[in-house]
Amino acid sequence: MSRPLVPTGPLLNISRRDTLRALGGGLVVAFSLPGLASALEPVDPTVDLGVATPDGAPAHLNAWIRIAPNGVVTLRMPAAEMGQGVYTSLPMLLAEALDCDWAMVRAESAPAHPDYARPLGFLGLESQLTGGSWSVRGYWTPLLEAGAAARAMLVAEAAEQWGVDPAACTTVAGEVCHGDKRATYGSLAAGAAGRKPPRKVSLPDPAAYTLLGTSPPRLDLPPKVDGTAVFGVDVKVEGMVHGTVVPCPHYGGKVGKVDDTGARGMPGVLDVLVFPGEVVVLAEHFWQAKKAADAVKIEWDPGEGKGLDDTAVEAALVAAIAKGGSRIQREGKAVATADSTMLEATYDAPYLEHATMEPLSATARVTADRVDVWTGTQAQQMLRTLAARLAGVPADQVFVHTTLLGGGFGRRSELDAPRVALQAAMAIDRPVKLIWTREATFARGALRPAARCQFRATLGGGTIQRLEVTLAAQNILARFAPGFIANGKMGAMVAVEGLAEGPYHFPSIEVKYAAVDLPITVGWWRSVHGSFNGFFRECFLDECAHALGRDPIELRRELLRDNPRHRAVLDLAVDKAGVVPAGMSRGVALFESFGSIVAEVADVTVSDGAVRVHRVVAAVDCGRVVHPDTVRAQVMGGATMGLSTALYERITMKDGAAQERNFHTYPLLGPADAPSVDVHIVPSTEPPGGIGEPGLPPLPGAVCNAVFAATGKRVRRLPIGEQLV
Amino acid sequence: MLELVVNGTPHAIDVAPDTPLLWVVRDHLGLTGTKFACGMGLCGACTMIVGGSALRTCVLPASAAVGQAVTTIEGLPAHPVKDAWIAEQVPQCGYCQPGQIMATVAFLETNPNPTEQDIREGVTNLCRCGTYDRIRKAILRAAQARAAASASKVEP
Repeated sequence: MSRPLVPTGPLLNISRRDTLRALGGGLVVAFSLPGLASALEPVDPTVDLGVATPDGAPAHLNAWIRIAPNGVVTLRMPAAEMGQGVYTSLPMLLAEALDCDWAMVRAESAPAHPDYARPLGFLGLESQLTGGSWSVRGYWTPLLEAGAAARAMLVAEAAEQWGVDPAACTTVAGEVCHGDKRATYGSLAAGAAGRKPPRKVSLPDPAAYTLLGTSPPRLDLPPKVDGTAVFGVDVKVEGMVHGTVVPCPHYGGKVGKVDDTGARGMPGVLDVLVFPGEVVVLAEHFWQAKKAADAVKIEWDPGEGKGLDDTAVEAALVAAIAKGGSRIQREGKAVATADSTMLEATYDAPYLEHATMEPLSATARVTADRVDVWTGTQAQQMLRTLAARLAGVPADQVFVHTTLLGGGFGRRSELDAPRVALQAAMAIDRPVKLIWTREATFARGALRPAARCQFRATLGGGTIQRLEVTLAAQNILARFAPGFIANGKMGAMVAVEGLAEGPYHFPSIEVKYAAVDLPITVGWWRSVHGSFNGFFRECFLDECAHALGRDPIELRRELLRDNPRHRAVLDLAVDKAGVVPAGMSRGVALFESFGSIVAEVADVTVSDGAVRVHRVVAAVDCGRVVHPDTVRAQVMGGATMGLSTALYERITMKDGAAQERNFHTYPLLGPADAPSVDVHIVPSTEPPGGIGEPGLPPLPGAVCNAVFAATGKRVRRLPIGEQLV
Repeated sequence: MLELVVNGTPHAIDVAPDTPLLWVVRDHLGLTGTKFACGMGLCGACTMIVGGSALRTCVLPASAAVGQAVTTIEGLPAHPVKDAWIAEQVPQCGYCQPGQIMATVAFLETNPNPTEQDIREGVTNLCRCGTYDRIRKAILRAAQARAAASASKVEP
């Protein structure tokens, strides 16, 4: 049974409200539920991510699932792969329900299109955005449904060919079976694609999962090991010119006087473009552009950044706390007893840079009726909208090609790199590839905010009777959300994550958030506010335990009495860590974020003021697990990055400009200091939690608590740096 | 014209001789497996093997590689280090890993039976995803595989 192929043409959209739909030649699933896609686009051969392999079939069009006659199943990934393993975990969801042969599964990046969006979790908004540790959670049901629907169509096709009842057919590893009859999905795909999609599908029984909960080798690793993986910096587009960017380093500032006379005469230089916020130098090759960029004389106007240094930042945080902030949570009444004492402490955390190993990069091509952007982006859909606006074309003429990301951590949810590439391409009417230097990337950081947290505890009766918390930090949401959200309770709840409505039971608690207004750009940084709130809360809890003369672990267990999942995570980590090794000191911390609970135990030594973390033992409850090895890898990575922030990382300001521009002044944790990280997973059938971020927040607190155990010195300001010397 | 031998293939390249080897290989030869990350030789993402040594090529003038064999990740054949990287499922984002692998290949040539401390001191490339623990395991695994392979070669 042969059917005409859908011609390879411009973007062809099917209404997302269409029911399941198939197109000839391959199997296409488009589903009616929110978050399911039906965007069809010719695969652009310009960028081969090195992940999908050609299946030798005609150019099948697809939404999520494409099955070639040879049985290769190609799955389109709505989320960006930035190391968190979604190019394996999301295909596993589809493959589980499709019941195909995992060895035949390939992943490729989906185009940017609203149909690939997922819910953002508030106000009914949705976007194709990779962040918030949401990919598995957000796409869980839609991908299971898409896989199940495709399977039903394949079964129906086989049943019709054989003249049997579909209900009597079974599937196994990419074949439909009935009695002694067997047919491969590849042989059935063309016919199945023309069938009417099922109105309802049944999802696989969790008890019968064969793929979910196992750890097949990641699909994206072979190209990452042989060098063929394509990141933003590796994109090649016919006719492109190379360039680099010199951004104004002053937050709130702009480009002043520019003298490019020397640069323009240098070998290979094609143009010097001056935009309000940056200068772009274009040349035949990157190195020519880089050398010429060094030769451009630029005067910066620091604007609002003038005079803004670390002292001014701290003063703003102090003033915000003094002003009081807005109350986010108030429960219980003060229940001071005769023996009650007060314990007060204030904690500080600095601005942080994402420091993705891949610097910023983007490639753009703008023609009269088509815009293409190749970049590693976490915000495909917002980029599509931006490109359409900049180029003045409808959104359906914009093609976002999401490459692999050389680290994201939130930084690539910003649109500055592709925005500049688009503007440069439009200015010279040629495709432009821009690679930012490390220094330029640092100069335009969308930083983890600096924060200050004031605690006041009423201690008595052997426990914490009342806890008062005030957090001061810039409001990240202010740049992204309407004022009533950013400045309302939702914005504040984002900031005080883990401080308010945390897992611990306090008879009385009051939490306030004091928003700080500074011109420094702050953004989403791995684990966001958890990155400092975990440190603040878990260290102050440790202080309370010591002031009460109680064991910090036992106090936590008592305060977690209403939350058995949290207590089980703590117990598992402590149990697996075993006895404290001779000569070492131990710290413990627990933090829930992004729907997952993580406890970490750090064993450290402190010698001449230098902290060495020898081992981290982590336990995690992230609900039902798709790929246990990825869970272990992400918690290991989060803990390791958390240690880097605990020991070293800090952005300082002068005239509103980050002073650290490369790894000699902004050191990252290196292999010499990296501990072993053992990760233990709590078996669970609860709904899935996120895993990209939750491994980070407990680590700095665990380490600083261990430092106290070792030295009696309480670290209340990160990074530890030289404080203990 | 700059004459370079990269992955066994001779090239004559019209490029300023002070251009870092990294950019000659990436932009002129089109081999993009080697990555740019810091531009100061601080992180090792740009590591190639030049004349038998692992060098950070973002700060190495291409002229310094004339007359020496240059090997990039693309020129590394089937190798116990690559196998170990897969077996331990090391990479996350993967950006630093070609450099990590090239640094490890050279490291094991000079220290085929390293201790964990040797590895900590000998392979110093940065990884922001925090894969160090698995890198160490992969290096130990690769060392064992190399030793097993050479043992099987000398025995009849």
